[in-house]
Amino acid sequence: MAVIATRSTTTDSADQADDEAGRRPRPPWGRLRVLLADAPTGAIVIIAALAVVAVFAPWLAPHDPLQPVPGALSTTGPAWETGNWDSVLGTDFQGRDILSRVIYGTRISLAVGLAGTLVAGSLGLAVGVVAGYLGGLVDQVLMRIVDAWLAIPALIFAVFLAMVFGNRLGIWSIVIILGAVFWTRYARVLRGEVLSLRERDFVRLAQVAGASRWRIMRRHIIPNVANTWMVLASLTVGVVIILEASLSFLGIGVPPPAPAWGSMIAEARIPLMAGKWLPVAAPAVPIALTVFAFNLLGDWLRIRLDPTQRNL
Amino acid sequence: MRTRLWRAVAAFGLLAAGCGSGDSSAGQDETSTPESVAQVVEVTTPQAGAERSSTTLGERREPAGKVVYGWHTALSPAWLDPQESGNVITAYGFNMAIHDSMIKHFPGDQLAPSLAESYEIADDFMSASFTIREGAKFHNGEPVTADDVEFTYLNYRGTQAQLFKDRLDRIEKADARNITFYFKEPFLDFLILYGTPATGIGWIVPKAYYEQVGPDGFKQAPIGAGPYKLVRNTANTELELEAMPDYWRKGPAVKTIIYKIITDDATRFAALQTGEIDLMNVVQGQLLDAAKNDDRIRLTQRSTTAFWLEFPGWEKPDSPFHDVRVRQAISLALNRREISDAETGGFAKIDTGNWGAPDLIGALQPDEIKPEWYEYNLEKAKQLMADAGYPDGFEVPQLTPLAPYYALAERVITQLAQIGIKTSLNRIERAAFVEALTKGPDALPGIILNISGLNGDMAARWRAFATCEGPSSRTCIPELDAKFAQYEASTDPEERDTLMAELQTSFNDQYVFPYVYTLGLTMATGPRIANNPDDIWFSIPQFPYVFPWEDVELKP
Amino acid sequence: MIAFVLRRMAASVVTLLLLSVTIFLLVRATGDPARVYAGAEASEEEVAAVREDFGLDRPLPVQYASFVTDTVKGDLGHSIQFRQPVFEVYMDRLPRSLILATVAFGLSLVIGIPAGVLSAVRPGRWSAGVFRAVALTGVSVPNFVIATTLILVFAVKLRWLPTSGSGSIKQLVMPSIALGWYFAAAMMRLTQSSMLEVMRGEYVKLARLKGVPEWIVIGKHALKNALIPVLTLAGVNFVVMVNVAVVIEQIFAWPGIGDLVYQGITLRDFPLVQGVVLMAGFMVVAVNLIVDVVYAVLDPRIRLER
Repeated sequence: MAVIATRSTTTDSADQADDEAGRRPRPPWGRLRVLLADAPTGAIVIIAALAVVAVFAPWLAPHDPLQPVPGALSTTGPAWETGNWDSVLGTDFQGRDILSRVIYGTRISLAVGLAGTLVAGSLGLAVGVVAGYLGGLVDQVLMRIVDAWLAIPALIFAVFLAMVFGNRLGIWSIVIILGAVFWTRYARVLRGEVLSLRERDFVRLAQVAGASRWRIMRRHIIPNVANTWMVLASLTVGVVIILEASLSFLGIGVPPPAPAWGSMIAEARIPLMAGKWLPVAAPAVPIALTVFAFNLLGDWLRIRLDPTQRNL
Repeated sequence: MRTRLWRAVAAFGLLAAGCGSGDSSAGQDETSTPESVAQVVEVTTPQAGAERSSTTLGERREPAGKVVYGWHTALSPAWLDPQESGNVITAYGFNMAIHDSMIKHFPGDQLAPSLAESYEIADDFMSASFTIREGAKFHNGEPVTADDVEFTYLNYRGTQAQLFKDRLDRIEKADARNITFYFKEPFLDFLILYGTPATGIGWIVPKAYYEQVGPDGFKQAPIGAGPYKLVRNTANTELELEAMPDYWRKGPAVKTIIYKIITDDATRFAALQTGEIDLMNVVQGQLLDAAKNDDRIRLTQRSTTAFWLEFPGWEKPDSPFHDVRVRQAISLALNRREISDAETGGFAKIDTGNWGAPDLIGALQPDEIKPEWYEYNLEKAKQLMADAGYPDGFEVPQLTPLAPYYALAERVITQLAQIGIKTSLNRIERAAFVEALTKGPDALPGIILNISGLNGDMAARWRAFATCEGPSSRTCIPELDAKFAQYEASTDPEERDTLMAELQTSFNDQYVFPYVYTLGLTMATGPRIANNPDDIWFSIPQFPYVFPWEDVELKP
Repeated sequence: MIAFVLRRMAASVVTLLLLSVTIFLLVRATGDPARVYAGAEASEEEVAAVREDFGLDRPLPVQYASFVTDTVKGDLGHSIQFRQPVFEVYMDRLPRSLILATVAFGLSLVIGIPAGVLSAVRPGRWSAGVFRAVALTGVSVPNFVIATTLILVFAVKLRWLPTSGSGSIKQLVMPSIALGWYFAAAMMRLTQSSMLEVMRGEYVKLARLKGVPEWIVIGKHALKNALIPVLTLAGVNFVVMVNVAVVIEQIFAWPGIGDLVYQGITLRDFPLVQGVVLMAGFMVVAVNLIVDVVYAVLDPRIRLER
């Protein structure tokens, strides 16, 4: 999902009918019951499982992820090779249990992924709605800034910001950086939607009724872009997680010794060269699963909530 | 300085003989005794008033074949210009092939006349005269003359340039091949600074060419007097060098050398395994096993420079590191055996005990090292922490290592946690680290894991890291500063020796810079190289890379 | 039409200016480059001399002004590390990134588009499942894992390909696969959804009703319309590929733009970083402009948008 097109032309017939009747469309949560009948159970199960693992990590992990397993100094093989079932998947290059680190890593990767998406989404929502609704000079200025930031390819921008601002806030530095890199995508797309929403009768009615701009934005605009926002968000989580892994590879991701999956893969590259593939596979599989699940979810949301939003 | 120089050189000889290489089958001389090695060294030790003229010239040969050298760091073009040499030994990995110095270390022959045919340092250290080797030429065919040597000295802008300028009184050129430098006051360190990779001022560049193309042009297309000339530089990632058959020392056997820059450890190793490179810098610790299992790869290992810890702000009473017992506890908590085993498969030395390795001129020699400086005793450490008032330890904001030694830093963090000191890794890249070092004690709070490749002698390191005004120092002990000032003012080598030893001993007794362990480097040689790897790796003090290039040979 | 083009160009210029300000300010937030260049042991005078040499002591607005005027003239400054004009260093390496991106791009199109079409047209067949799996790998597994695995298998174990470096066709194979996989997956997904969309549309239904043979329906009507958004996005994807191959270039010792950025940032070579990021932004803006114009030519409704 390198770039998102901005030409969305929404023609929801239900909305049209409502316009004619002069009524507000039903809020999205009313539709939820209908939607869930067709949900992708696999994806939801995976995400739920990840959440459980993240929350209950201290109880699930056999060892402390930050301390070496007693007696281990560096990479050791999985239990079926060494016979030592104390460390099922073996240890990493510092002698720490891989399974425990993967389990605790769920917390970090999910937190970074979701938080980064939230930061990006919130900022993007705010800017997109304000720009789209207020229009005029505000819109032009904001969108030019968005364009300028969008013009810098994501990885380079992230690397750049990571180098500039470093790890001052530990994990949260990465979250802020990821937010800074991705908010522009939300802004662009949501602003496009708001532009067309703005012309609709229910908004006009509210304006005529004397509602303030902020009230309209809050009560009418934002709820109606929630669909698109959710789709974008679910698709962004995977991208964010992968980008964090890339940053860790380059040495500027979540700071060690935190067991982020991305860092683990980066550290496991060298044993991979020596023929040991498990230290890479162990964190790579959860990443793939997580991204897979969120992508499925996002795809499904996209089709169900707004089938004509093809360009997301 | 004389005594310490001799002993440093001897120590190097011991290091070279004593440290075995990993897998090398071809005759690592296990039977050479320390005495026999020391004997060889004694003969070549320069004294004050030293006079050297060595004339061992090798055979002329027709160069043939190609050798590919896998290099591990990104190349900075400034490294191809000795006029701007910095404190980074890495640059000399290239200099040694392309350029030549008036005085140079050779294997088994330190401070030998190289581009110079002979040299003489006056008894009073007030002058140094050189005779340039007859027939010495640059790559463009121009002869090396006294004008070039003079130009090199006066135009030098690299490290210690100011010192050289300040000390110089005048230069006298008797003729095209004879030149003498006169100094304003006795310049005891001249020989070391001029004749070793401490500075690049002795590495002669052609005056006419340098002036013609300018410093930037020179870096794009350097011309030197070394055994190989640069014919191609592709995007600073691949250099092609061609042999100069008339090189004075001997004709190189290999016609083409390619420096292939592969910064990624894993990829570089893969390239060695496939035979794409014949010589490789730095085999990463985790790949050692795979390397040892490959019959075609020969490994050469040396334990070179020491890591140490620093505690910025420790002099202040409210710092937890103020109490010497805490610092000693930290030193006692470091399980150096474990670190060496994990990082280097066990060959790295853990008993150097001092933050300057013994082959560094002026550093403490093995018999001056106290065992408690590298002792591991967890119980004693915990006891000391309790005595100092921290039975449960304390928190430290961060631990910052010099890049890229993050793995080592993590191990140290884990070990310190055993005595209750809890911290996390502050990972910043080298440029930021170097800059922060210069900003005083507050820039990098917590603990610092440091290592230095600074060339020269122990005094240079002391000046940089341990004096109150040192550019990279976060430490200030006024009494020691006064003693160091005494050292610098002294012109008596014996007195200097003693002062330097006292400085380091009192420093270590107070555990100001606790010793961690000594970096172990592993270099790899592929099957096509005919030489005994020990002859071309680590062959001279403080230089870990391939040297001398004119000796490298391919198997037929 | 002209008005539209002019409007878009004006917008692009403004974007570029904003971009340059952002980069300029951010780069200078990284600390004092003069100190780092001079070295940790340099004295204050030496650092000051360096600062003067590179004009780092002038007030910020003055530095920015000369930055802009120089850039317009094509002078992107002087790289501190390479001792060459940034533009030269950049142009030296750009062709390699372009080659890599072109091959990766070609792969992504050649594999992605047919796969997407096939999946849309024949959703039930096993091939759709296979394509989906491949696509999923591309977007789920980080490219450096793919890259390392490729090296391990094809270079070390099988000895079919060289491990790294640039210059020969063989050395191009693995990096372009590692780089292109993600985009092939993205292309596939987009093509598939685009095709599905179009095939549901009125135009296609009409053609079917008229009895037009299925393959013409797909090949001629559906595909042509489906490809419009795909190709317009592809244009920008190509530019992105040129610039974000940082990780791939590192692993394969491929001396391109991405590697240059990383080196520049690590060594605080801010004229270099400035120049490269600026060029990246310029490329993206330029391609966006072209894409917009092409899209407007093809789809008149767009011209009327603000």
